Amino acid sequence: MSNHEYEKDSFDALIDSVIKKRKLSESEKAELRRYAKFVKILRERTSYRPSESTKLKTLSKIRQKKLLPYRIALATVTSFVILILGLGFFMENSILITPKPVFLLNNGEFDAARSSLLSNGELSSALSSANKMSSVESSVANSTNGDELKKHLETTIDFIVNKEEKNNAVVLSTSF
Amino acid sequence: MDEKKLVEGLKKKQLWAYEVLYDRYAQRLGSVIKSYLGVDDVDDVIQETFIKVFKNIKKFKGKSKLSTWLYRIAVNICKDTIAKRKRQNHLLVDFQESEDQRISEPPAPNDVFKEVMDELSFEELMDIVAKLSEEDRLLIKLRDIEGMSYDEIAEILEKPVGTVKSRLHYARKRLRELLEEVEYDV
Repeated sequence: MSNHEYEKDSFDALIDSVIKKRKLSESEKAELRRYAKFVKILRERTSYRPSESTKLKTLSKIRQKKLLPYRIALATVTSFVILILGLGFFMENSILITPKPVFLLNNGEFDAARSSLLSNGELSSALSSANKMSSVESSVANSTNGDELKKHLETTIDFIVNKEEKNNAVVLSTSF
Repeated sequence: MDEKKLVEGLKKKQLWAYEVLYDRYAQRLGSVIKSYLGVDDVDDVIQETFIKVFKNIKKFKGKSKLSTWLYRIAVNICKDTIAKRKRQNHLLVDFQESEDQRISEPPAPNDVFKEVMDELSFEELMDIVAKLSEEDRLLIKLRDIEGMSYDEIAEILEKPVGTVKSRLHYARKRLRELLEEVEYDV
């Protein structure tokens, strides 16, 4: 509807007071009165009184939003400090892990390790001590009866089997 | 306090400014929201409106009145609420209030209300209100109750002035027809 058409519509123009006052017909009066009364009722029905609790709730939410950046900054700084302290702690303290000594190796690695050591010629004494052990064992075998030898062998086998389930590395020491 | 100082306070995110804003506009905003949405969700929409003001106050350049800007935010939230209701298949607007709400309604300040209530029953009035679309109710509310200019309404609804005039014309026409129907029945 154009402005021209709008102004021609007497009812709209009357309500908006864009036409000069003139004598209204009875039907116009009745219609206007009805409309005005309805608007008054609508005003009453749509009146709103904000409660104090709504006000407090709204202002509290705004306060939370206002403090949010500060809270985020505080959390970031705290996390950063904790990170620095944590890094410092782990940099200054260490756990020393050394390889398991050769004599404790009881699986297939034993032969490889022994041959490796012997090939380097560094443990010739180890070889001689192993030979000595063999001679001691043979003397034990000679000096004891068959039952004792059997028992000794079983104990040794048990020891070897149990050891296989464990790791090859042994933590020898820790320090903090 | 003048509007300029208030806007400065709002932009500096000072709590007193938001309190002043609430005290000054919550009632009028609530009334518009209530006429648009019905009785539900008014408090929630008001709360959301003020939070949006807090978030977007930097965007307010002062080209329009602060009240117009506030109404526009509230109306947009109302539109979102209605869209959400429609998505959730809620009943669109229920103007029928519970008995408790009727009792707690403040008494009319003048005799006109009582006089008209004698002519039109409460149920009839609510029927008429419910038959109007949300936008028709809003237009009538903004223009005929709040007394806003067409320019302000156009700014609030983000529509051309001609469109606002045209829609208000049809809203009034529809309302007159509904009122006439009731009169004949009575």
